[in-house]
This record gives sequence, structure tokens and C-alpha cells, in this order.
Amino acid sequence: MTTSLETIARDRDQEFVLGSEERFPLRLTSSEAPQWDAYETSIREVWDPEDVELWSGFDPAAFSAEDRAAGALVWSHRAWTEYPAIAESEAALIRACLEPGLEVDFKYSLSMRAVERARSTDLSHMFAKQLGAYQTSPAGPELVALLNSELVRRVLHASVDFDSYVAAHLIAQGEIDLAMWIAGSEHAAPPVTRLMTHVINDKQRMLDVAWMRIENRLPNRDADIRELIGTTVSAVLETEEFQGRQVPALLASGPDREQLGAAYERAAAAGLGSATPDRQIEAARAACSTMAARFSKLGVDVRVPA
Amino acid sequence: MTYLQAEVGTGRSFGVLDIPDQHFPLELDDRVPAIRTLYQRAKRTEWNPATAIPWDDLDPTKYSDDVLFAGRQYWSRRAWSEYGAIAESPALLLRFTKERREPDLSLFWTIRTQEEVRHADACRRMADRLGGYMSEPVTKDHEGAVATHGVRGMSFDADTTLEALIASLICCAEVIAFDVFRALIKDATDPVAKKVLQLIFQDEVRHCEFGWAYIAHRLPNLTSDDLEIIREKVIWMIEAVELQGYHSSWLAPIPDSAEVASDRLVYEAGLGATVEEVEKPVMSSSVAAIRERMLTEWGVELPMFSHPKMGTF
Repeated sequence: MTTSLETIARDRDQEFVLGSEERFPLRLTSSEAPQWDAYETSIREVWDPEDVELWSGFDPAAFSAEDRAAGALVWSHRAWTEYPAIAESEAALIRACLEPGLEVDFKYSLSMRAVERARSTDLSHMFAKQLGAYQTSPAGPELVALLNSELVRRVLHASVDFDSYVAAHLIAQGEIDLAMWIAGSEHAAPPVTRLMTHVINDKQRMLDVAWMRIENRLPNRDADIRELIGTTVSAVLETEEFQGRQVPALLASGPDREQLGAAYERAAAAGLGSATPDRQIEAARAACSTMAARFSKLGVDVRVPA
Repeated sequence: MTYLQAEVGTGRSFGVLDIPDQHFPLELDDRVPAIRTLYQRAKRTEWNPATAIPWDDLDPTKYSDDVLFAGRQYWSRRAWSEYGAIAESPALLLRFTKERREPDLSLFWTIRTQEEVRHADACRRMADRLGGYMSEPVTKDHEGAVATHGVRGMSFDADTTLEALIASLICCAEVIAFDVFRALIKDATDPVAKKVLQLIFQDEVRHCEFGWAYIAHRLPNLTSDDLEIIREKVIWMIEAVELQGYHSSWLAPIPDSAEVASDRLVYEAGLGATVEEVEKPVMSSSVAAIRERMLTEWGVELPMFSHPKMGTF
């Protein structure tokens, strides 16, 4: 059911429906302490990819030309996946503000997501440039279509249940995103790991906040909504994530499958912050399995594609 | 860069959202260096409302109950106003992305939104220190008066050009608010109120610079028709928003006398508000400076404006 609602959000034949806001009473005092802590932590743990200190020990010349070229493509790919999340995050913030009575803790935490995605976009772009050249586009239309995924319309459309959006996109896609960054950092050279750890911490914190919201909310929502959420998460996994939206090894076809596969393989061996295709699939499956089990405890049935 | 534009004149309320996602090619090098510099400056000056302000220095026993109540109202209202930028202004970033504007804009705007969160948080904390943040206006009828001028709706409206939006919202409305803010800081004597205002002010400087920097970047490509649209939108912003009391309630056709009196108490106590006699010359000189700058830099000629309390200015 939700899948069809997200389809409605993308349909240009119908006029777009944005929710209306009841701003008052406007509660700006924390009522969800762990989420508020996440907001305050994100303010305290600010970092800047342009801080030269963070790059100390990273010497692109220490890698072969082939390794650098592979790394540049890997990090270009990361920039392509990070950048669209900037607008998605700001759209999610608007939607959160349109939701009646939604706690300020979640909104403030969510406001950090766009800043953090700007930082990870910047970092990815800088890595690609330091390694030789940033590529501005995927090689083929398959990956382009997966990344032009209309998340802004989907999160803003009044017909889309916000909890369902949070579950399918901030959590399910967020878990896979985080798994890819962690897998990439596992055998990276120390300076690369250090830089990636900042991004991983940011992503983990936002993911925790999204889980907190869903775990607080779902016990009070009826079975139809839980079914809706299960359907939406399953559909996003099947039609987007397991088609290679964030995991290049899962791309079914197209030139990016081959080019990114080779680049990730080579950059992983060189310690440039990449995971081999096999490791990507293993990490994505493990993340989905853990996530499905966690959703199951909430009465949400998530199907992980075979 | 080649921008994408939604079809105009369709009557669809959120036409900008009809533009299909088209992220590629994704150019991430700086295209508007002045805005990239603002982004870099913003990253270096982030502050934490919990620790950057000496909250314990605020001594509520120095103030009467009436002043404390007025102060709570004033700072709560400030928090609502800052919150408006959290709930609505992100729509501008969506517009930048949908139209494939230079990524510098989006990068800067992420921090801009987060700064508004810090401002709302700091103002709420200030209201708490004075006795307690209020989650709604004392009089229900006043909810409309603290609503915004519809940034969200305008940002998604394909019939309003982005340049006209930026010129009217930022180069005009935000600049007036900024100039009034400067007066607020000057007259605030309470050290904590002053510190909160100073921290917000340092962020607002960049917000205003952003607007002028982007129009300067776009200027060589703007036609005389584009500039006329900008002119009309700026005039609308001054006449239909500012002079109707959006920022200064004493300018409203029917001023809320209780709010005006309450603000005076806060002002006289040095806790941060301003009053008509302080704001009037600021408003007048602010509009004059905007008029001169728009004429000099853009060739846009604004008329004189009139208001019963301001005269012609």
C-alpha cells in the first residue's frame, strides 16, 4: 500500500499535495533525552574536511597511478550518493515540521543530517581530487536513474506516511549506507580510516535517532501501519538498494557495474577506503538481516531480497 | 551552468517540485567563490548554545515579575521566529537543487539551517532562564501575527524566480532585520541577553552576505525583465510584509498594544527588545541603504515608501 503512495508522490499528472502546518503550541523543550543528546553531540563533534590536520599522513604519491585512479572513482561514487541526501535531509526536516506534535529533539537532530551530508560530500570530492580526478557522473543510465530517486517529493508528499518514510529511507537506506562506509574503512590506511570515522560517527548517530523515533512510535500505531512500513521497506530494498543504488556490487547491469567493481576491488587492496564487491554484498546482507530482526521485534515484517 | 526551470503559469502551487531529479553531471568545484568562502567561514565559527553563553550570569532576581513575564514573552517570540526559518527556509535549498543551481548554495544553506536551530535553541533557553519558555502566544488571536511570510510556499512557486526570492527575502527583509538587530545589541545591557544577540548576529551577517553575493554572481546574466521582477518583489516585501508589521509589531495596521507595552518593559530592562522610537530611524536608514545599494549594484530603482507612522522614507 505504501509503495503505491510513494508512487503517487512521484506522479506529475496529479498536483503535488504538501501537508499544512499547525505551528502552535510549539514545543521547543526536550522531551526525548537520548535524541536531544544526539543533537548536542552532533554540535560538539563538529569536524571539517578542509582541516589540513585531518589529512596528515595521507600522501597520494605513496599509491600507484592505477590505485589512485581506482580510488578517485570510488570516492567520486561516494560523492554521487552523498550529495542527493543533502536535499533529502532538508526535505525531511520540512516534513518533520509539518507533522503535528513531533518532538523538537527529532527535528533538531535531523537538522544536522544535511550539514553532515555536506561534509561527507565535500570529503568524498576532496579525496577524489587528491587521488587524481573527480568524475562528475556515473558511466551509465542505470545508476543515474537509481540516484535520481525523487526522495524530496516522496518525503514531502502528504500521502506518504512519515514513519514509513523514516523506516524505509532514514533507517533501511541509512543502514546500508553506514555498512558500506564501515566496510570501506576496515582495511583502509590509517589516515583514510581517521577521516572515514568522522563520517561513520555522524551516520551512526543519525541512524540511532531514526531508530529511536520508530521504536517509540510503532507500539502506538496500528497493524495496518506496521504492514505499510514492512511493505515500503521491503520494496525499497528490492527495487532500489538491491539494484545497486548504494552498493555498486549489486548493480545488475550497465557500465558502472564493471567499472566500479574493478575500482572498488583495486582501491580496497590499496587501502584507499573501499570494500571489495564480495565484502560489499556480505556487509549489505548482514546489515539487512540485523535490521529485519530489529523491525520484526516491532511487528514489522521486512523481506530481504535473496 | 545550465539551470532547470519548472513550467511557469501553470497555476500549480508547488511547481518547482515537479522538476525531475537530475543530479548529474554533479559539479562540486566552487562556482560561486564568494559563497564558498561564506560556507568555509560558517564552518569555522560554529557555536554551541549550551556552552557558548554564560547562562549562570543571568540573575532573574534583578528584574521585577512584570519584566520577567515580558522577557519570557519576548524571547519565546524570538524562538518562534527563528523556528520559522527551520520549518520553512530549507525549501530554498530544495529549490537550489531542483533547479540545478551551483552546489555552493546548497552547501552554505545546510549550515544556515543549522544556525537557525542554534538560534531557536538559544532563545528558548533565554526564555527559560527568565521563568519559562511559552509554547504559544498568550492570546490565541495573535498566532497569525507570528506566522511567516510564506518562504516555503514562495520557494516552491515556479512563478517566483529564485533571484526575486533571494533579493526580496534576503537582500531586503533579512537586511532590515539585521539592521534592527544591531540596534538591539547596542541597547541590551544584560550580559547574557547581549551575548545571545551577538552570537546570532555573527551568523546573520553571513546570511545577508549570501544574498548579495548570489545576485552579484547572477547579475551579468539577468535581463531587464528579470530585474523588473526583482524590483516588484522587493517593493512587495517592503509594502506588504515589512510595513504591515512582520518584524516590528508597531508598524501593523492595528498594533498589538499589549505586545508593544511588553516589549518596552524588556527594552527598558536591557533584556533585548526594541521600541518604536529606536526602530523608526533604523528602519528608515536601512531601507535607504538598500535602495542605494540596489541602484548602484543592480541598477534597480526602488520608490519612496509611505507609512502613517514612518511618513515618507
